[in-house]
Amino acid sequence: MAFIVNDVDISAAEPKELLFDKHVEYIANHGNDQNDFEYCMTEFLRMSGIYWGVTALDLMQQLEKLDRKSIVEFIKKCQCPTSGGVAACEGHDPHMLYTLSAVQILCIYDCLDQIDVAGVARYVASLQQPDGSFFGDKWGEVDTRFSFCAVAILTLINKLDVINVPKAVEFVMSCCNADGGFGSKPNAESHAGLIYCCVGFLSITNQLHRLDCEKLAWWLCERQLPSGGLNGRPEKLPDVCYSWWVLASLTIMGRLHWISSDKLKVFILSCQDTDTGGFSDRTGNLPDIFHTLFGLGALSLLGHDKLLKVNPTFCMPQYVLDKLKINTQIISV
Amino acid sequence: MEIADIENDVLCEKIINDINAVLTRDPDVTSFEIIPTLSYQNKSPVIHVEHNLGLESWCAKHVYDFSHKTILASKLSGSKYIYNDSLVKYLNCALLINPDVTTFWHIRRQLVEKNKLKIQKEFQFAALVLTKKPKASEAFAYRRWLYPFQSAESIDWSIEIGICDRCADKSLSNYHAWSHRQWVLERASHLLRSEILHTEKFIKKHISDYSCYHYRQFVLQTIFDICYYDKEQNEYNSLRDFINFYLVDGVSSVGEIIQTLLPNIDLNATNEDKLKCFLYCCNFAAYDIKFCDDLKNLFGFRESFENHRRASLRFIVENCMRFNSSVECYQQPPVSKLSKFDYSSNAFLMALKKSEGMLGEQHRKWCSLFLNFDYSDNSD
Repeated sequence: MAFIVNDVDISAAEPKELLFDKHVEYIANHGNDQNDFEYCMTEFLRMSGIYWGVTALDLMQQLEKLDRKSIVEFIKKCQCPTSGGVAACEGHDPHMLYTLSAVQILCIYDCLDQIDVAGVARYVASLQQPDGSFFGDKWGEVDTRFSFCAVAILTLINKLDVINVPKAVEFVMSCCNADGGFGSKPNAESHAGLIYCCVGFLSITNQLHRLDCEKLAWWLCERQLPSGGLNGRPEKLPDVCYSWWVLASLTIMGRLHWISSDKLKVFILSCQDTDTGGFSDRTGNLPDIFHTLFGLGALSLLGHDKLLKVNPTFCMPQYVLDKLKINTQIISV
Repeated sequence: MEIADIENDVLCEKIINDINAVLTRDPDVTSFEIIPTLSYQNKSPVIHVEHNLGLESWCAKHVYDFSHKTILASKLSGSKYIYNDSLVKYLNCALLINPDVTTFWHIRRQLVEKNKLKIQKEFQFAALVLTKKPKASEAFAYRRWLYPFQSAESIDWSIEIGICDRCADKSLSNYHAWSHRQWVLERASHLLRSEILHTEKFIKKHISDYSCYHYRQFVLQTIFDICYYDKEQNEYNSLRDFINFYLVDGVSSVGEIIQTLLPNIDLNATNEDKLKCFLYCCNFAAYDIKFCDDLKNLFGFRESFENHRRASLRFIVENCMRFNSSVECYQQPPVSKLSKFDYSSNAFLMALKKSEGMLGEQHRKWCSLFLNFDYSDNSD
């Protein structure tokens, strides 16, 4: 019987090696043209954009290509003096997502003291709800992504004790589905990006024993398509960012070897743009900074020799976490 | 400021006013699109035809830049922008072109709280944004946020379901649309029945949209959790056929179905509503297993058919085991805690286990992992 699957074809002409120098150039020049329409349209997530670029360059040991001073100054301007949260850009409202990006950048630059760290802790604590979940900002959307952000931020600034961790764990576990996966809320469809958030959350809070690893790993392995690429949900096309989310989750669960690394590598490398550098979501599309980090991050998890080792829970270079003396739980099988 | 900039600003202001004139004049605008055009053509780039609003693509960048600049300048100046609804026309244009900017939606929220914006208009605006970007999570979030401002009796949840349906139809596996629909259903259980029909229709149109299958599983689970069943229903034909597929000695009456699925049950000690709901839900799941088999025969093997068939099968097996092992607490123990359940006392589950185990190595593995079927003894 026919087996129908949504996938891509990778032609023999696609790149097979890492275009290292092209990527450095791509990231270093990203955002130089500030009159660019795309730059204006993406302002609302600028802080994360910077985190993606900084982390990618650090994994390539090219961090000096970016101007540290102006980035730190930018972050300082984005912290809200009242709430303590950080916004994506000056003039925007603070949000959990951008607070995490800002803290990650400052950890990489080893200068957390440049912002009001107590304010950050106060902000995160203020967003926890009685059921243990977290709002993304004061307007009240709940999502397991924000649970991950909360414990990641507080661990990086060493203030995990300002929230109710057992309650937070309880909420995340209430989002676990019968297929072993996790969604954004209780009963929401399992989704690889949200699985990463929940597995990462449990890794940070030392609660990995709560996972049903056999079922979850089964679900995650079904993400690999004949092209080698990984999708994020059943019947979706492969996408480089899921290379990161699926692979990082499997790495934390000690089951990286459950998928074919060689085929995945072929897919990720085929998503490089040979002209401009950078990675796209899938073969043949235009590159962006988001997929560039997650392409490089996945290659690092697969042990690429030109990249520094990445930490699967925080998506930051391992040496940064070592310096901060942060241990993240990983299951060894 | 350069002359060109001034001209640009004047032009943008004019286009923004044109867009807002349409929004004010025509309360029934039903869609917004950016229309690909090559360049400036010396006529208004705002197109309004039969309640559809369009903006020519050449000017979208300028209109967005200008609106964005105006809103942020007002916000950063610390002026009391929040009390001033003159910003709304810029917010409208900025969000129609770029619906992902959370901060702009937040300004609207503040205006709503100050009674500067009408709730009904806001619902309409968010719906309009969703016609342009059906995956706009911020627009869905905004609608959820608006609901508490309405009086309970003025809420018509089927309108909300309709919006979800249109967004899911336009953009497949639309996580935000289906999560939003789940949120609606949690508040409107009277729609459960019609959702059974809606989701079947949707699946027939979009056979590979697994989000809809997952939502249908949620509908089934919700029906079970609230102990709903159809009081008129006295036949469970899908369930009967499902059982007869596995068993040589077929069943026909409802009594036989109960006896086969729940051989240990003491009918006198069983809550009748729970039993009827159990039968109703298992019949639903059995119908879906057949539905998936039919789809597979028509279209070939697909992950959606396989996954949904498995979810439906798991529903029946899990709930048979729970009902059998303890009628009182059958909702509590997860299936993993029931691993010691003795199948040999249940001829139907034994037959099902054997038959499913013959559907290939992968499916057999799935059965042992997810249904706790033990194939190691090789006796089956």
